[in-house]
Amino acid sequence: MTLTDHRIVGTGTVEEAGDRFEALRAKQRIVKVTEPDRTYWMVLDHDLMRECLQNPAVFSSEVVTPLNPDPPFKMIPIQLDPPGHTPWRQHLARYFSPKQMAKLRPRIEERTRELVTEIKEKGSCDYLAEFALQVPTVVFLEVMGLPVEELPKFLEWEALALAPSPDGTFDADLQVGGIFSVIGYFQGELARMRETGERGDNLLSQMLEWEIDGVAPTDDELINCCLLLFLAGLDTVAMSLSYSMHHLATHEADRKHVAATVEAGESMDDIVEELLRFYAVPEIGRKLAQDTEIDGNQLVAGDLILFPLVSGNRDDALSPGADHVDFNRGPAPHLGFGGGPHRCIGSHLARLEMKIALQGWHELIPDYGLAPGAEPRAYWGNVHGMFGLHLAGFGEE
Amino acid sequence: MKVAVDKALCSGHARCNAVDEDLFPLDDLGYVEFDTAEIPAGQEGPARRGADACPERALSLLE
Ligand code: SF4
Repeated sequence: MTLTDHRIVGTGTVEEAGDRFEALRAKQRIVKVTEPDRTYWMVLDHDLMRECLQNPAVFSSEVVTPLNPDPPFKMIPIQLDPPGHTPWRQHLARYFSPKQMAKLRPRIEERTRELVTEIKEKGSCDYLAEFALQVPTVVFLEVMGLPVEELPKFLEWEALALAPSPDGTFDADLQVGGIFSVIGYFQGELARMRETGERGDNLLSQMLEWEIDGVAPTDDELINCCLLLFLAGLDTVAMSLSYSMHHLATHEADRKHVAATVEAGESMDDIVEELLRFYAVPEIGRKLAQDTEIDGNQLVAGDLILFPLVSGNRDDALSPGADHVDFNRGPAPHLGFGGGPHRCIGSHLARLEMKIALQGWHELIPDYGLAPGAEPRAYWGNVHGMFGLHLAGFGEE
Repeated sequence: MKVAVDKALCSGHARCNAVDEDLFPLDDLGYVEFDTAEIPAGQEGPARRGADACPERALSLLE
């Protein structure tokens, strides 16, 4: 089957972002998509998705999105395949392990409390701008060892690099501008640290000590890696939070369940896991390294393949009734963070941020809803996003 | 009962560890530490749930 009406990039209702794949998946595990500007395969089925992602020798990360089939630079380490990928991954994994991440908890909790307290007094907010984008950006600065005073600057660069135009597309010039600002900043920071010899208990300092196959990485390689952490860790967490809060604001019983869980001081794990499963925001790509046949389809080397993670995550083969949110489902082995050797290295951090953010919010603001007249609009592409999320119905107003 | 890890598949999701940290200890990089481990009597339930939670299907239980 070939589709000519599917688009990677688009806008619509918040529900549509994830619902778009439902009918298709019932018919096909894999489908060929022909858009006016590009052609690619799309894998919809949970098991097939896992098997492909676990096979980097065939499904190469040299290309990570069909939107950019010929990337001019290599993001490290996401665009490296094993074995080149492995030493970078090991350095980062040491830093992003569950144990390491737990050390960040007090700072994230403190910042969350400050933000929610301010928002509560106002009685309404744009959750996206005033909360969801702020938390991961502060955490990024914290992890890197950069002063929190840099926050406004980074939020500005982030908006340039990641925020779409109203039609859901991205302005390439603005995007490049934002990215170059970030690159410039890290160039300066690394040069300064080398000159002064200043080191601390943070990722930037540690990077200066790394060796990859016995040699120190160049500054260009390190900056590449910093840029990747910046691009991969901010939007994804901000949007996962926004989709989660949109769900809770529009599903009364689920919101009450979350508020009651927080009030009872019980674990947020199952709640966060289920929201991550159902609203998996990334759509990731691979490039085929050799000819392969799947379900009678002949795929050839060089073909691009898209994996909309949300599609596999809502497959009934993963868990019965996967097409709706159920906080009592138990651990479903979903692919919200991808799979295989490239499994999102920030997954433990993302989970921690989500738990603290949802807990901190519901502690102070258990009752809320969409602001009257607000009709949040979503966009999709590499990451599912939203243009804003106006919440109201709490505090003074 | 024993649990075995396919080290080629484990990619450090730590979902098994989230179900039971004692049955599924992690190394410093966040990957499962053992190749095979004995499940103490009475712990079959959590062992099964931990194995089921693995997104990579890297864990298998041996009766
Ligand atoms: S859940 Fe699976 S992939 Fe993750 S650490 Fe455990 S065994 Fe490894």
